[in-house]
Amino acid sequence: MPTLLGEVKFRSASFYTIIASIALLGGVEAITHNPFYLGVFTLISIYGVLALSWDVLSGLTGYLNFGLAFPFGAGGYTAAILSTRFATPPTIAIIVGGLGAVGFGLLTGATSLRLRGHFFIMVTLLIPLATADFLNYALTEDGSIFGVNALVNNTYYIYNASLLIFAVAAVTFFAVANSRLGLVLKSIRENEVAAESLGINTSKFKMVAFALSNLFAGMIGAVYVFSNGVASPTDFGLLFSALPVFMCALGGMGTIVGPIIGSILLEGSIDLLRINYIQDARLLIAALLLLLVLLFFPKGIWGYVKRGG
Amino acid sequence: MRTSRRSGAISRNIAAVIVVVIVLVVGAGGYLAYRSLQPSSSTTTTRYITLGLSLPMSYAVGQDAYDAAQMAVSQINANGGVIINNTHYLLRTVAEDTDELDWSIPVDQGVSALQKLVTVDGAQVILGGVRTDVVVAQAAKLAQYKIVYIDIESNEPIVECEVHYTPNCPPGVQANYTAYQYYFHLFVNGTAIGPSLVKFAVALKQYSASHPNAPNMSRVAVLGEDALWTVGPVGRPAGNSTLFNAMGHLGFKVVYASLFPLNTQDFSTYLSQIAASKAGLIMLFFSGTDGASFMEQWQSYNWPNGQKPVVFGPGLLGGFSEFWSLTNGAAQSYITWPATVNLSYTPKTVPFIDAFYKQYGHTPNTAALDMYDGVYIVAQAMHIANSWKAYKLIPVLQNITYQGVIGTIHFTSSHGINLPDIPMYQQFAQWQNGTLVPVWNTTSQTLSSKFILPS
Amino acid sequence: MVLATPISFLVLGATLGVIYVLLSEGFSLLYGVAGVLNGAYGALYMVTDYTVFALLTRFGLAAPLSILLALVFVALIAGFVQKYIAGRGKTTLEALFLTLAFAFVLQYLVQFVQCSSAFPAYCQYPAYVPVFIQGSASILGVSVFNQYLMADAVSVGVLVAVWVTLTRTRLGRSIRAVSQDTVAAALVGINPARVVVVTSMLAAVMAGTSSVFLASYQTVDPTIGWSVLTLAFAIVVVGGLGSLVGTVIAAFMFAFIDTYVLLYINPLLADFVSLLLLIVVLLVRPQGIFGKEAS
Repeated sequence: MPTLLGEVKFRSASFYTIIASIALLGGVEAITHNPFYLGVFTLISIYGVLALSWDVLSGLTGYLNFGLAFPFGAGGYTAAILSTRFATPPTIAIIVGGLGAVGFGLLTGATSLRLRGHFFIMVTLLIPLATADFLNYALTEDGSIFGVNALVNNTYYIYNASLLIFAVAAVTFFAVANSRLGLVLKSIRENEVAAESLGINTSKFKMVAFALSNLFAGMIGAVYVFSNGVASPTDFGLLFSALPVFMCALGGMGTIVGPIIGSILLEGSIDLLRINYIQDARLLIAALLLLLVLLFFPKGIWGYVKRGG
Repeated sequence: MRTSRRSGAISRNIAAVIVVVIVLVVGAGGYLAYRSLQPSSSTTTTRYITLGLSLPMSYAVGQDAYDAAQMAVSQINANGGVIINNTHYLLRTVAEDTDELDWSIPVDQGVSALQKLVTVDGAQVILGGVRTDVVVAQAAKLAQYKIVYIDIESNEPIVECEVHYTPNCPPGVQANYTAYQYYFHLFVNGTAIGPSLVKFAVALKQYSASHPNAPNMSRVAVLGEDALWTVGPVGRPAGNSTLFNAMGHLGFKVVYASLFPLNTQDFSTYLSQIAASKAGLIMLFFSGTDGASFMEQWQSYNWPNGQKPVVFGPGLLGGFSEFWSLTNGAAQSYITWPATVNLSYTPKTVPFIDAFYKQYGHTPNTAALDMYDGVYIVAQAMHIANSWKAYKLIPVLQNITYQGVIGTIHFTSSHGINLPDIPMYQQFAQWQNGTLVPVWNTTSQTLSSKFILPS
Repeated sequence: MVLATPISFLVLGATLGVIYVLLSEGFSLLYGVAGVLNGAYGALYMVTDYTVFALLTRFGLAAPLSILLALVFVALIAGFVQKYIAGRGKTTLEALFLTLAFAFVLQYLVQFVQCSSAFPAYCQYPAYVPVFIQGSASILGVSVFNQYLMADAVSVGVLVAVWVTLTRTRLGRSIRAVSQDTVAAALVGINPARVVVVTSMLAAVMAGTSSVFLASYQTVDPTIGWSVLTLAFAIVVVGGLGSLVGTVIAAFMFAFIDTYVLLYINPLLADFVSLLLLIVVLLVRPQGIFGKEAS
């Protein structure tokens, strides 16, 4: 059986950028102890993981998953329930949250991955919306909002957890992209029919990418819930599905660096623009930034840079 | 690649410049905010206490509360500020936008607003809070920063239950006084107003009995939004609550009961069912714009025998001054609770409402009154405690009795509001031609002669 | 307790169905026939309301004139978006992302002007669209708002107009030609880009018209566009891309299912059931009822 990991190009720009971004995020912790800034960079890491998770499936295979909020929210709720009802320690809850997201994802992926193109987009978009609707219906008795134990609320723990998951995700996806698995996934994007005719079991590989994507999205969803101290149906909301897609489009789809750039730019502008006189307009400015970049850099910023422009 | 580089290159450069400019602005913003972290080397002798306001600044609720805070602060400062250890401290406010009323925005915006207030803006006490899941998330952080938080407008008891568990609390909530003691709730939670609703309904039923042209208000239709705060009063399934059981014993018949999803826009099906049930009284439980939509549709609906049922109930937005224009007048004859009407809940109320109207051009909503009292309570508590530090402030807040504009405030054991002493939460007022007219309150318990039927 | 009769179910379902047709016709034309996925459809729906409100209250114009000007305004925006943002050689995906980003820009711009620290005075005057056809009529004993009945009539009129345009006019033939084969259409002298721009302007006018009729009885808010976009997309997909008949049938399907769940099962499940239905259709027959096999 050929191994999935082939040769990894250690000297590529992508690899250095990953190291640099991990160092940058780690360095922030050394420079400032201010919880607000740590919170901003935690959010950047969280969205970075989401964007990377999106990219490993959608950027490589071309199956645009518009429902990343589903594993994100599923992981978050799993961790919240474990933490409040079963007094699970946070680290274990995060890991089990990720596995839970994979499990739920198997249900949705098995069916939705059979679809192509616009239909895949539609189905994945609807699944988290339907879940949020269902949660609002089913859980109001108990309160579909789970307040998570405040003692977990340690900024450093959250920051380190998100940084660690970010690092592992970036390295994992880099390895995947440069491996035989990555090659198969890219071939699915180029021409799935041709790939199948060569005897490749595309369904299996799509599920692997999907599971990998869900694992990290679920784990970071758990971290998100712990960082906020609450799990609510908004965790399945459109923003968590749409923002990672936009970050990858802005940064450059199908790359490792793209999602990282995208999350830094978008999430950074949303949170760092809390300045007097323009703080009410910060979402508008972020949206304008997104529009302008997409307009003038259709392949994303990293896509533009790679072209040698 | 030799595609059309020429024009592409020019516009690409412009775009690159724009992007770089935006990135620089963002970076500068972050840096400037970071600078404010550094201790100021100014030699001013004015000492300040900073109040952090966590509000949705792109909504009337937030703007009103912000304005009220400014008023309170300037009044207190004009009177010498807050005296702590024989030193005068002036108050100042910093507001951070939580965007909480946009339901597509997740809670992390509220959390980062709180964090910026505490760790960058240097707030010593926080006031604010509208949306429940955001408030829950913010309250979870208080123990970490050891900072007092006055919740002025959220209407659910979750965090109160985390301070101190009572039998009315939802089953999943765990009380943890050590972590949640910093939280104080100035707004009333939905479960507590049940008895007043029953008494008002009884007054309405008596009105029906003595006015033959009125709808038969012993037949009640219940319509409640699907949110946690309606679990108590409306019950699950809808209609199955102590409130409605009590009404059943008082001669009412609940002929229709239903929940509706938040942000429902089209009420045609609900209205057709209410019409079929021949209800004369609709008890409506809402907090946001869905109530406005209902109102517009209820007014225009073709009711059987031309008899439009009376509508009343707890509707947070329904008591705000912009509700009238939001419904374009369709709120006519709707009775809402709570309602800020120009009455003397205390001697301080009318002067405040008049002054607010004079300065800002419209009547203050409940968030504004709560915020105004919140600022004053905090100022007084800091003076008594001789500190703004939470460990000294909390015992004082737990014991304080303060006469504000909403009533005489004394927090309960779960840091909630003591409802019987707060006249603002005892008022039922009816929209009549653009103004809220008080028609009933729990003290007099008589329906005012100003009450009008829907037409 | 179930307080509904088959009559009320039929009347309410039918009224809602025609309204759903009005909501989705524009999107169907644009997506199904011209192949353009316009993520800003919902935002344009929302902007129409705010424009009408601004013209009515701030400029004091009469209602019919305000509506007309608002429709012209959104048509121009749609044309601009199609020509300069989503057109010009962008792939469908790029166009989708760009229009979605534009939708967010519109939403946050409207939000900013409606209420912010820069415009605090406007916070007290939330946007609304007044009811311009008052009262309700009784259809078979069921009350229906006159304005919704008017919306129904307009919807039928628009449907007829669209059908006539597509089959009898040059523009319609151009649109159909472009939807079938862009290259071949260009070869016979049709300018595909221009045709698509005109189609998107038509779609915007249709969205705006439905918006104006419905918003009177609902609340106007910067986020109302998204549920319209999702609904329109759902209806068009279930009905089948490229089939206006399919859109009509799917619109009624959704309307009746919604009404059924609202009246007979549980109002809290109405959205969930619709979404479930859509997911099932997508899994079982992705091309929709009348659509061709996806290539």
